[in-house]
Amino acid sequence: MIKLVNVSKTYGEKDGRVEALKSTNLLIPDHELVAILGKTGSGKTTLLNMIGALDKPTTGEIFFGDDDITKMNEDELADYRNRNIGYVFQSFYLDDSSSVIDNVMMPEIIAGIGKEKRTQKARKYLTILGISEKESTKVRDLSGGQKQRVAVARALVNDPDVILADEPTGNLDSENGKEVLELLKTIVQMGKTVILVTHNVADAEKYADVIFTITDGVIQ
Amino acid sequence: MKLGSLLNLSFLNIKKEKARAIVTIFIIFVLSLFLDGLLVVGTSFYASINDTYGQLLNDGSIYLNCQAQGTISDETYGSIKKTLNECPYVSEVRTSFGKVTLFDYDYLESIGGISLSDYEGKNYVLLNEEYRDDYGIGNHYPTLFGDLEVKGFFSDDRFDAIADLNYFQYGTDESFYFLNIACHIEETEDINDFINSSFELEDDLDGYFYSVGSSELGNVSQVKKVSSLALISFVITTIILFFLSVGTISSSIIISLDSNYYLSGLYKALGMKDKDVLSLTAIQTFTESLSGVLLSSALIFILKGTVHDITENLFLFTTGLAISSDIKMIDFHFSFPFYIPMIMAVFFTVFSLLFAGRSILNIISKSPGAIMSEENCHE
Repeated sequence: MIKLVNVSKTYGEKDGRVEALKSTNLLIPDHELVAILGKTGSGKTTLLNMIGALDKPTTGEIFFGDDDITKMNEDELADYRNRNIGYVFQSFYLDDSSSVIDNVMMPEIIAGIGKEKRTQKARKYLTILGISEKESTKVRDLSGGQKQRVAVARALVNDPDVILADEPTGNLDSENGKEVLELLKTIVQMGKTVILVTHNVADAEKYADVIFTITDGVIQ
Repeated sequence: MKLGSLLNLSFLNIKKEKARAIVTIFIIFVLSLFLDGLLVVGTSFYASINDTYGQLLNDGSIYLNCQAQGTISDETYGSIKKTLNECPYVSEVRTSFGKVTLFDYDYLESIGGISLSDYEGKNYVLLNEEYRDDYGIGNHYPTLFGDLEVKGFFSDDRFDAIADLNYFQYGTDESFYFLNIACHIEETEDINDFINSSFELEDDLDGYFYSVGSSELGNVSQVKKVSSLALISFVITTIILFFLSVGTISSSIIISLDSNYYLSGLYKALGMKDKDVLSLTAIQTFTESLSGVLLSSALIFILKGTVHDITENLFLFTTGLAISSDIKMIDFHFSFPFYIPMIMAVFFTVFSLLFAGRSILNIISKSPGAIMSEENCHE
């Protein structure tokens, strides 16, 4: 379970000060697909970055189970990200000039998993996501839908408890977008918690178990 | 992160940026070729310099010829004796005092073609041992040599006091005190220590005598001056080449970090620690530096003969500026320590990382979220 207590995030100083997230309290249940719904600039990505420890909140506490991640140092945060969180981004954030399998194995290499084991695990997830035949293909030669599948495989490969998906369908056509959302639903059935950030009300209503709406940095 | 994982990632990154890596390695190769060349010349030069000094000595000895105008007091002589006792290399001291006749060089030539240095003393002459047989005089002293009385023989040619007198334009019938000191080194002793002690002795004696001279120390001094100039040139050129290499590598690091900015953010998002980001950059830099340096070292090794000839000629040319005829007999040592490429690559890496510090710090100091947001804005 992820719990946010009075979490806020402010960017800039003095006149340029922007409060992206205002005193937020939130409880995210385990093994559910949780949607954070909001318009562009509403603070939903900021909220996701706080949960994923990609950024530190200005105030407040974030609990992952019993651990307060706001009290962790940089090295502990790095370990937290590597072990507990899988990320799926709108613009994929894949290494275009590397092969599909090298991209998927990236979190495993960082975790120090041996070559044989990491290759085996990466192949397992590529098979589950239906892109095992593209294993040696360079990412730049893939379609948008295939790239997002690679990103999902990379998010899953270290077997994290939580998958954070930031507008995962934003760069995809509707068909591929639908497939990715179906995949996320399947991931929940695998026992994971998926936090989906989206501006699409219909997607959120169709696929999410729980929906939080965010407007101007405030959870409604 | 484990070293194996870091190596794995760094090789993946180098493979990905083949063009940049090849250009960097090539530039390092060219610059370190010059740098290696300089180091070879420098180390070989200095490996040979002790032999050069050895050759400039007279059978392992340095002779100091001192002359004072008039007599030397017992007190001064006591101080001189103390100075001589303090120098561990002094093996022989000869003194002479008397009225010296300044001979006309042409006149001496006409007597027997014997050099001026064969004469000493008042109105008499000492003949060099080597002339004993030439003149067929056996073990008996000739009574006269030209118009001069022969007092005996000497076994070396250290009597150049008359030449000094001639140089200083002294008139005849002056009284002088002479001290001839021989400093000797055994093969097992340190030649640099010997030379330095001899120079110190020369300086100390200079305070007591009107003139102190040594042809051996004069030659050593000239070679020292030339080698010091050569050393300064080597050092300046080496520093310039070193910083050109470091500039190239750090530029390459900055280009790589800037073009892979988002990748660094991604690595951090996926759990890479800041120290691992730094280690990854260091491994990539070291790998590229070492490749360039090893290639240049390999080329120098392959062309060892040519490099040897060039270095030797350069050595003979520069030392020959000081005293050529003695140098030509010396065996030149070609020297290229095997550890130089590794040390160069380490230095290149450390300095390049320091030079590229701002770009590295830009990644380390930011959260992965901040890097990714910047990348999104950029896109």
